[in-house]
Amino acid sequence: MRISTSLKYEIGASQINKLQAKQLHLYEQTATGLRVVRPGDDPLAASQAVTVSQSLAANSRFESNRAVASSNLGMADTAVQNSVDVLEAIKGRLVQAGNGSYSASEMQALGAELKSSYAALLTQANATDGNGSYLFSGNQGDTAPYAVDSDGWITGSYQGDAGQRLVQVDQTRQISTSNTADELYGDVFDDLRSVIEALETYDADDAEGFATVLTNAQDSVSGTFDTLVTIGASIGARMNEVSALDAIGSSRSLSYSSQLDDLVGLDEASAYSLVSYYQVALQASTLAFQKIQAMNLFNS
Amino acid sequence: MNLYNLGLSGINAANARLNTTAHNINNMDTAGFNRQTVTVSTAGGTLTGSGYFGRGVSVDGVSRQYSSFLYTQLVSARSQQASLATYSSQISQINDLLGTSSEGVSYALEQFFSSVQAVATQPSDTAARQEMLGQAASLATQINEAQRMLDEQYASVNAQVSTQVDQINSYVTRIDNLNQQITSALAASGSQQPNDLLDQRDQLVSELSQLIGVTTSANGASINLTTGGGQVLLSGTTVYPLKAVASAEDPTRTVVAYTMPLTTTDADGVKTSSTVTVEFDESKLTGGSLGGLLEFRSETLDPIRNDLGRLATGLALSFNELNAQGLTLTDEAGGDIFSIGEPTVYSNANNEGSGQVSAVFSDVDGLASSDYSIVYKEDSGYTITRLSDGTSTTYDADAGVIELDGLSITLPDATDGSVADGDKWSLQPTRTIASTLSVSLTDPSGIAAADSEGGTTNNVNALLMGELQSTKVLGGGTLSLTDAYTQIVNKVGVQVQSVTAATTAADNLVTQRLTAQQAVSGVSLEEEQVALLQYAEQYQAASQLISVASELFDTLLGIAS
Repeated sequence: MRISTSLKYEIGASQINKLQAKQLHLYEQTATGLRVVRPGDDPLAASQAVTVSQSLAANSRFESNRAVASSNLGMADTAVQNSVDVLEAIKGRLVQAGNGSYSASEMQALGAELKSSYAALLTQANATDGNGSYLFSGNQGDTAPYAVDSDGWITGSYQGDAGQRLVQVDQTRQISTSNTADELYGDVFDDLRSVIEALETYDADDAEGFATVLTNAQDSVSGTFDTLVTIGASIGARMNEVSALDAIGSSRSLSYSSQLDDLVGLDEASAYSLVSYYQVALQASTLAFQKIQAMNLFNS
Repeated sequence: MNLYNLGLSGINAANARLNTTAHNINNMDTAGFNRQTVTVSTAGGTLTGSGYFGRGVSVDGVSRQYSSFLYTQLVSARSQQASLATYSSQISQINDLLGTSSEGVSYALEQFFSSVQAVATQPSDTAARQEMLGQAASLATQINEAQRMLDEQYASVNAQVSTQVDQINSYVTRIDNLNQQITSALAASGSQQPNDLLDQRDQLVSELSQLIGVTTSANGASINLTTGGGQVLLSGTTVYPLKAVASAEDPTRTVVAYTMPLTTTDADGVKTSSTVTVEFDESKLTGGSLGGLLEFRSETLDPIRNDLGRLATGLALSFNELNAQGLTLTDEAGGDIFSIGEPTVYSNANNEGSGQVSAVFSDVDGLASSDYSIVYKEDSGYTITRLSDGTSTTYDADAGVIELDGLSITLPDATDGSVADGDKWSLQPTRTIASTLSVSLTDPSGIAAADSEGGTTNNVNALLMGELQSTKVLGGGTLSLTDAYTQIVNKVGVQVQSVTAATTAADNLVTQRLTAQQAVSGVSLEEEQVALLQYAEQYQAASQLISVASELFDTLLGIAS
C-alpha cells in the first residue's frame, strides 16, 4: 500500500498530540490528588462523591449539634442534682417539724430555714443557660418558668409550655435536651409555701390542721424527689446516648472520607509510575518520528 | 527525418512527465491535492510497404489519481469529526464549571444546610441566624454564577451560529464560482479535465462539510449542494443562502433558516414574487461544527439550564413555604427567605392574536425540568405539550387558569377573539430562572425557627428546614435538593464520556479513511524522486535521438559533397 509523505507527518504528529494530552491529564490528576478531576472523568463516581461529601459535612455538623446538646443536658443535670440536694435538706427539716415538741419560736425558725430552701429550689427551677435562656420553660426560652413576687413566692402557675427543645444529634435522631419545670417540680412550690406559712403562724392548738398541711408537703416533696431522681437518670441516659453517637459519628466520618477517597482519590503510586511511562513513550514516539522523517531519497 | 519527430515526441512526453512530477512535488502539502499522472499512448503507426512504423509517443492528458468513493468517505468522516470536536469543546466548558468539589454549588449547599442545622440547634442565637442568611446568600451567588456561565455559553453559541452561517454562505458562493470556472474550462478544452480546479472544488466541499453536513450531486460539470433534510443550497447557478435569525418561538435563540422563493397569486390572477424565511428543523441539520453546536445546545445546554433552574426554584420555594408556616423571633408569621422570578413565556412572533399566556409556580414538587409548547386551535382548544416526553393535554378555549406540573398557567380566553387559530406560545419555566435567585430576608430574626406554638427556644420549624437537605421535595417525591444537583453532575459527566468516546472513534475513522485515500491520491516523495530520475533519463534518451538524427543528416550531406 502506498504511504503518502504528508500522511506520515500527519499520523506522526497526531500520535504525539495524543500522548501529550494523556500526559496533561495525568499532571492535572497528580496536582489535585484526584483521579476524577471533572465529572466527565467518571460520571458515576463524580455524582456519588457529591452525595458522600454532603453526608460527610452533615456528619460534622451533627457533631457540633451534639456538643450543644451535651452542654444543655449537662446544665439541666446540674440543676436537677442541686434540686435533689435541696429537697433532701427540706425532707430533714419537715421531719423535724413533725416532731411535735418544738416551741412556736423554734417552729418559726424552721419556717425561715425552709423559706431559704424554697428560694434555693426556685433558683434551680428558674435556672438559665449561659445565653440568658431559661432551661426549663419549654419553648418559651425568654420566659421564666415561675414568676416570683417581691416576697420571694411564686405567683400564678408554670408560665412556660410543653416544648421539648429537640436537637438533631444524628441524621435520623432528635433528642430532647430539656424537661419542663412543670414536669420536674409539679405542685411542690405551692405545697411548700403552705407548710412554711403554717410554720410561721404556728398555733399549737391547731395541731391537727398543721399535721394535714405537713403531711401534704411531705408527700409532695417525696414525690418531687422521686420525679427528679428519675428524670435525672433520664438526662444521664440521654447524655450517654449523645456520647455513643459521638463515637459512631467519628468512625462514620472516617468511613465517609475513605469512601470519598475510593471514589475520586488518586492512587499516587500508579499515577507516578504512569508519569514516567508517558514520558518515555513520548520520547520514543518523537525519536521514531524524527528517524522516519529523516529517511528520504532527497537526503541520502 | 522521422527521427526528428520521434525524438521530439519523446522529449515532449518526458517534458510533460517531468513537469507533472514537479507539480506533484510542489503541491505535496497542498490541502486537497490529488497527485497527477500523465497518460500517454503510442501515436499509432504509419503504413509503409514494409509494415506499420510507429509514430512515437503521444501525450493524451493529465489525470488526477482520485477515487470519488474514498473521497466521499473521507469527507463524511471529517464532517462527523468536526461535529464531535465542536460538541466536545463546548461541553468541556460545562465539565470544567462543575469540576472541583471544594468550590461551587455542591460546597455552598453543604455549608448552607450546616448553617440551618446551627439555627435549629440554637434558635435564639442571633449569630447562628446571621450565619444562615450569610450562607444562603453565598449559595444564591454560586447558583447565579453557574447560571451566568451557562448563559454566556448560550450567547456564544448564538454568535457562533451566525458566524458559521456566514462562512457556509461564503463557501457555497465560492463553490458556485468554481462550478462556473470548471464548466468553462471543460468547454474550452474539450475533454481534458481541469484537475487543479476540480481539486480546489473538492477541497471547498470538504471544508464546507466540516461546517455543515452536505450532500453533493452532479449536475453536468457542476455540482449541486443540499443539506441534511433536503434543503438545496446550490442548484445550477442559483445560490440559496442560509440565514441566522432570531427564532419565532424564542427571540433569544439564534437559529438557522433558509429562504425560499414564494410566488403568490391574488384573486385577480396577479402574481407577486417574494421570499419567505423558513426555520430549519434542527434535528435535520447534522454534521460539521454547526451541526455539533446545534446538537450541543438542544441536548446538553438547554436541559442543564433547566435542571439548574429547577434546583434554584426548589430551594427557594421549599424554604419559603416552611418559613411561612412558622413564627419568627418576634412571634410573627414568617415571610420569604429567598426571592425567585417567574416562569418565562414567549409569544410566537407569527401570532396573529394578541392573547398573552403567563405562568407562576404553585407546587415545587410537581415541577418538571422541561419546556412546554402551547398551541391554540379553533377546533380543539388549547394543547399544551411537555417537550421532554411529548405528552400533551388539551384544554377548553375558556379554561382560564390551569394547573400543570407544579405551574399555574393562565390561558387567555379565546372566546373573546384575542387569540387567533394557530397561535403558539413557548413556556420555559426554569430555563433562565437560576439567575433571579436571591436572598430577600435581611433581618435574621425573620427566620421562622418556631412552629405555631411560638417561643424563643422553639426550633420545630427549623428542624424541618434542616431536613430539607434530604427530604424529597422535587420530582414528584423522588429528588431531594442535593439529588437534583447530583443529577446535573451525573448528566454532564455521562454526556462528556459519551462524546469523548465518539470523538475517539471518529478520529480513528478519519485516520483510517485518510490512509486509504492517501494511498491513492497522496504524493510520496520517494516515488516522485524515482520518477524524476526516470523521466530525466527518458528526456536524455530522446534528445539523443535528435542528436543522432542531426549526425545522420550531416553524413547525408557529406555523401553529396
